[in-house]
Order: sequence, then C-alpha cells, then structure tokens
Amino acid sequence: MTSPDEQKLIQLSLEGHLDSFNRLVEIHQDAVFSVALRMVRNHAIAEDLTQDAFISAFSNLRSYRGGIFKAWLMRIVRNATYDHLRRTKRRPETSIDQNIVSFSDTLESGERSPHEWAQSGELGEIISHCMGELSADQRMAVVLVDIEGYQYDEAAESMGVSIGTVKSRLNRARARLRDCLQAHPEHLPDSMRLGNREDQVTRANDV
Amino acid sequence: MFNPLRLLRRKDYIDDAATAYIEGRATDRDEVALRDREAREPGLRADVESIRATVSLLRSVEPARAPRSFALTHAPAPVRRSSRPRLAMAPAVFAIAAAATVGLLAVGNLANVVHQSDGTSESSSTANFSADLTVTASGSVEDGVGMQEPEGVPGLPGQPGTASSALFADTARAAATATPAATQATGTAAPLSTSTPFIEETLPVVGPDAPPPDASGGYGIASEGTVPGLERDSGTVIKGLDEPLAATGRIPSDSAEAGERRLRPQATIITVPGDAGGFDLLTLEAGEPQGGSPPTLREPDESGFALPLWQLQVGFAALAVLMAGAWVLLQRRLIS
Repeated sequence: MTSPDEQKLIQLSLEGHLDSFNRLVEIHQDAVFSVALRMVRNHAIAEDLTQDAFISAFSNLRSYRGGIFKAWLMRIVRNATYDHLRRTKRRPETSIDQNIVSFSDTLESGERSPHEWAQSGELGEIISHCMGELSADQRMAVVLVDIEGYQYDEAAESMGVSIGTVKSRLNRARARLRDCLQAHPEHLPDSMRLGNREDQVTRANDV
Repeated sequence: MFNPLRLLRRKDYIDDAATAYIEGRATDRDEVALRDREAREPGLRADVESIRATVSLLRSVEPARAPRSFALTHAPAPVRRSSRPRLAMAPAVFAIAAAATVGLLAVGNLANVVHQSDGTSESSSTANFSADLTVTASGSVEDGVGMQEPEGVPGLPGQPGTASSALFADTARAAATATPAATQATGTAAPLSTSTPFIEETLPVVGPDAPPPDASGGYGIASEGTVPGLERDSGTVIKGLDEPLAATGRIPSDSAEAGERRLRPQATIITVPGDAGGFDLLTLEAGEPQGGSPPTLREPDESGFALPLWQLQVGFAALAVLMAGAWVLLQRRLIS
C-alpha cells in the first residue's frame, strides 16, 4: 500500500506543490527508469519515456484513485513503453543492434576475473536478446516480478490484469527465456548449464 | 518432436507448488506435493530446475538506476481536454452522413419521392421520352416504312414534349417492339413521314366512312380509309383492331370480318398499300381492351422532387469513401 508519507505528498501535489511531487519522483524514478529501460532496451529512449511518464503523472494526478501509487505510476510507464514498442514495430527508427542495452552492466558483479567479466558481458547480451524475443506483456511480467521484485498483486495492478494472468504470462515467459538461454550454453553459468532436455530428464531420473 | 501433450502438461505442472519452488519460497507442503508429482512425471524435476535456474539468473540482474534526476523544474500546463478526438471524428461523421444520404436517395427514389430530373433515367417523366421520339419503326417491317418524330401540327394536340408526345413515344416504342407482320401481301413503300401524331385524337377518324363511336366507346368498321392529316394520304389506310396490337399485327383483310369487329378507340394501325394489293403494317398503339375504358394519356409524374439522382448518389458515395479513408489515415496518425 501507499505509505502515509506518500499519501501526504500526493495530496500536496494535487494542491499544486511541485516540490512534493518531486519528492515522489525521487522515490520512484529508479524503478520507473529501470522498467522503461528493460522494456525498450535503449537508454536514451528510456530516459525520455521516464520523463514523459512523470510529466503525465503530474498532469493526471487527479485520476489517481488510491491504491498502490507505484503501481499507478507503472501503469503510466507501461502504456508509454507499449506505445513506443508499437510505434517502433510499425516504423523501426533504429537498427536492432544500435543502442540496445545489454544486461551485463547490471548483472551482479561480486569478485570476478577478467574472463568472468567478459563472459558476463556476453551473458548480458544474450539475456537482452532473449528478453527481446518475448512479447511486451510477457516482458513486462518478467521485468516487474523477476527483475524488479514486485509482488504479484503489485504487478497485476501495474499491468492492469488479474494475478492469474500475471502468473500465466510469467510462466510462459520463463519457459521461453529458459529455452532461449539454453540455446547458448557456452555463455551460461554452471548452474544453468543443464544440457538439453533429454539430458535433464536423464539427470533427474538418475537423481 | 513436437508433442502437443507437453503443452498441456506444462500448464499443469506449473502450478502454485512448482511456482513456489521456482521462486524459492516453497513451503514443506509444496515440497511434498512436488515430490509426489515427480514420482509420476519423470521430466518434471528437470523442467522445474531449469526454470528455477533461469529465474535465479534474471534475479541476478540488478534494477537499473536512474542516470539523472527526473524532477520537474516547472509544473506542466494543466491537461485540457484535447479537441483532437472530436476533430478526428469529423471525417467519420462526414462519411456516415454521406453514406446515409446515398441510402436515403435510393429509398426516396424507390418510394417515388425523388426521381431523376434529367433524361438519363428511365423513370417517369415526360422529358424522358424526348429521346425516343426519333424511334424509327421501319426496320421492323418488311416494307421499310419509316416513322419519324412528328414536329407537331397546328391544330393538333400532340406536341413534342407534351403528354401527347409522351404517348407518341410510348406508341413508337410499342411499335418498335411489336411483332410487325405483313398482311396478305407485303410490299415496299416509301418511308412514311408524317407530321401528324397519328394516334390519340386523330384515331377516331378511322376513315371517311367511319361511323361515330358507339355506346361502348368503340367504333364501327372502317375497312379502309384515309386518315386526315397524313401527308401521304393516297392509299394510306388506318384500321383498328379489337385486340392489343402488340399481340397482333395482322389486319383483317376481310372487310366483312372487320366489320364484325369493334375498333378500339386508340388501337391504331397504319398501313401502306403493298404491291400485291395488301397492306404493310406499322402498329403503333396497344390500347385498352375492347369495352374497357379508353386509354388515358400518361401524365408525367409531378409528385416528389426531380433531382439529378444518380449524379448525387455517385457524388455522395465518393465523398463517403473519401472521408472514410481520411478517417483511417487520421487514426493511424493519431495512434502513431
């Protein structure tokens, strides 16, 4: 739920206090930008979408009817990213490889050797590529739940669908991602290198 | 190989227990349920493990941080209700209105509220017959008798463009479509040119010896005679029939037989003597059956509105298509 502080900030924003709204921006801008970036996979476009989302949020704050404020904000981002994806699908503006954000820069680093860094770079690209293979709905579910760590109810409210729909999309997305990632076993960490399906079955039976 | 059952199975096994296990929040109960199912489905564990590893990998991706502050420097202008949607609907409204107009014109035409105003339609109007006045019926008879548009004769009621000429046109059309038949003998004659509308009021003059109309409105026998007003009076004979001429075309040659018949007031045959003494025939009018009421001249339909109907319909249909196209384009532009 939206915290009391947040409620107060929203109330002040409704009264026209820009500083209060900017406090809300500071609270949520990382999440908004992160979702936009994972969805469109382009830094510059994600920045634009994030800025537009906050402007739109301020202008339409009166349409916020309570509930999870972050989810309401995410719905604005979702609509903006969907519009962008629809547009680029119809009229591709940039080459597919241009400006595509790899996941490597945000993979958890820890202590890694140069070889591991290089591998993680390739892995990030593969994750990014596989995310790009998903539909917008599936990608949104994965981004919100598996990357951003949203609860199902938050994700459902952000996506404007039921929890069951979120689970269903998530299951399909995970299976597709698994299949896509396993097509590049050489770049996967050991924990994911389970071989092909027959090997998995054999191994599971052995266990 | 693709196994459709696998899809069903997958949907089945990704249940709450499996999801909980994949997401690392399985309770003891979930673990038991999953283990029970593993015993029945050998591939289950491997599938679930691979998805679990995928989710772990995704969770190792850290959320991105905003590269800068997105705080607003000034309050954006308040949102006003855009007029774009209303403007965007304008072509659609025009398209619907134009299509409705086309439909209304069509319905109006069917209901005889509106009718074609010019000579391009076959609808009821005096003017529509003007083009038919030049019908030449000569081609349909062996003798080459020709009939041309009467110019109108002073003292005669039939004038081009009037109800009389409309009747003439009808008559001419009937003549052109009727099966002409040479009677006893066919002969050739010069094209018959007349300045007299040899129908309507002149018809009762069936010949110099024609008796006056009887009580039933018919006429007695006129075996032959000269029709006053015909330019070629010599040998030009007019006879009447007691049956629709469109179905006949034969003049009873036997005057005695003809004398038994009753002439219909407006049933007209103009014949031209043939070489063999018979008559070539030009039928002109199919009137009312004997004993019926005399045929009335067809009055032009004055009810409703005369409009350039098909031009309007084509125009509005084109407008409807144009506006519909504009609306589609505008929608695409707005969406993009």
